[in-house]
Amino acid sequence: MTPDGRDKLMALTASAGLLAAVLTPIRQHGCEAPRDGFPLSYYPMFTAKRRRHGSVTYLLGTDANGMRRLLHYSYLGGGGLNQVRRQLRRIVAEGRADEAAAIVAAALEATPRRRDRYVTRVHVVTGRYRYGDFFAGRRDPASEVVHSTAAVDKRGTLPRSLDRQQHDEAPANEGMQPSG
Amino acid sequence: MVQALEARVLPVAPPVRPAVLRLVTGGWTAYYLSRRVDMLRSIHRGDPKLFDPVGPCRLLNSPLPPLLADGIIYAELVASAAFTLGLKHRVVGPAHAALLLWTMSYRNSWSMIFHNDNNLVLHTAVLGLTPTADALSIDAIRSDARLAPELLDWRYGLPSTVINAVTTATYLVAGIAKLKGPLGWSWADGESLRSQIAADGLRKELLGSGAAPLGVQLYEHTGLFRLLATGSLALELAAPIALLDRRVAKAWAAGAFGMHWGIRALMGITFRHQMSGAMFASFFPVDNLRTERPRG
Repeated sequence: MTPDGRDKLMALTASAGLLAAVLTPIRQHGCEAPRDGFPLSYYPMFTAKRRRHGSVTYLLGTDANGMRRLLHYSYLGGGGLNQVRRQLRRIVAEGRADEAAAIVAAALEATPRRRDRYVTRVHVVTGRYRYGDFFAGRRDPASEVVHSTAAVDKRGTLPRSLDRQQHDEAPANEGMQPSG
Repeated sequence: MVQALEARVLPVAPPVRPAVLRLVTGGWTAYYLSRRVDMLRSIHRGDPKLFDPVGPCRLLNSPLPPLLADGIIYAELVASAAFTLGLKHRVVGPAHAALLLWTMSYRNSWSMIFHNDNNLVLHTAVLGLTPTADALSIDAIRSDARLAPELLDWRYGLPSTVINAVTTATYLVAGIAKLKGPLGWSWADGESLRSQIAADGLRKELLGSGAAPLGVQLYEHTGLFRLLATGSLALELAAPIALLDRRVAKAWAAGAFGMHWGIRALMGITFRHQMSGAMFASFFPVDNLRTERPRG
């Protein structure tokens, strides 16, 4: 075999090996507990069977008057919404919701967004929603469970004018239930 | 027949072809990472209990000290710049590929695997380990004072062939995942895609970033989601066909590019590498085939 032919054979072998590696994660479909990887993935996104309703764990703030305000995920951590969402779900599953609430309360105290400056309590909650209702504007959760609550120190008293404004802005999803 | 197959798998090309891919992919990587340094540094300081290593990071039992992880990012930024310029490619190419693999694997080792950087890492591995700096590079100027040497060689055709194969294989794997999932072929009826878009929008609304307005507006149009689901599944399963013909390849790449922009509009999910177009550059003629003299 010529040196060029040998080089071609090596190149083809390496290329076939890379291609096989990219295709190998397909085997995960036969596993009882498939495990995704990087950069070799079986691309499980968008494959789950979903119902017409779903549950989400999120961060909720309440002010001195009990008005609700959804809190931005970045109070808990960086890395983007989906990473923080996944981390929050894992934290709750590990029974560490108190830690998450405390982190968010501390972040709110240190660097509150303008719209959140009168939040006095932080709650880690899981709400169950019907998609159709939610996107039709009916934003009440079908049910909601509070996993933990933390107080935010040094909150100011809510001015009456802002009280009205927050009434107008707050989502109408009342009805928190204590964690069971 | 063997010659025809060889011409398709190992086509001769000028050194400009892989060099353009090196410039596009390397330039994209340098830009992409430089815009994410703060976010990556923040991730490095995350809760160690949430560390769930993937890829080569599975060698680790616990996260790296944040300063060391930061240092690897800065080293990768330097490597990506040198790779893009085509400086000391024989050393920098593999080093850049390894550092990018590590950096993106570490980024994905915190309880969430993102699927938008897989091809960037794989393409960079191909471009880092093949002769992609024999033109349009500092190495080329240093070796014979020409930016675009007039050569034709299969070694310059190989990178784009392999990158195209890898790209289409990842889409095929994604398509197979949908069929192997709990829905099977009924994934194409659109209801799952519609529910997925709703679930994603709900999460975004509740976690503070807001659902994509178009997805919310179109939620009731079930027929449209059937069309989109059928189209995207066909695009994924038919991806390997793009390897058979150049015109089909261009059409497929344009379709995949459009699909990612559609996902952005409907779900607010940004597949940056795909949407930039850099990921599909290898499917288009990126060189001028005027040269005819074989190498050596």
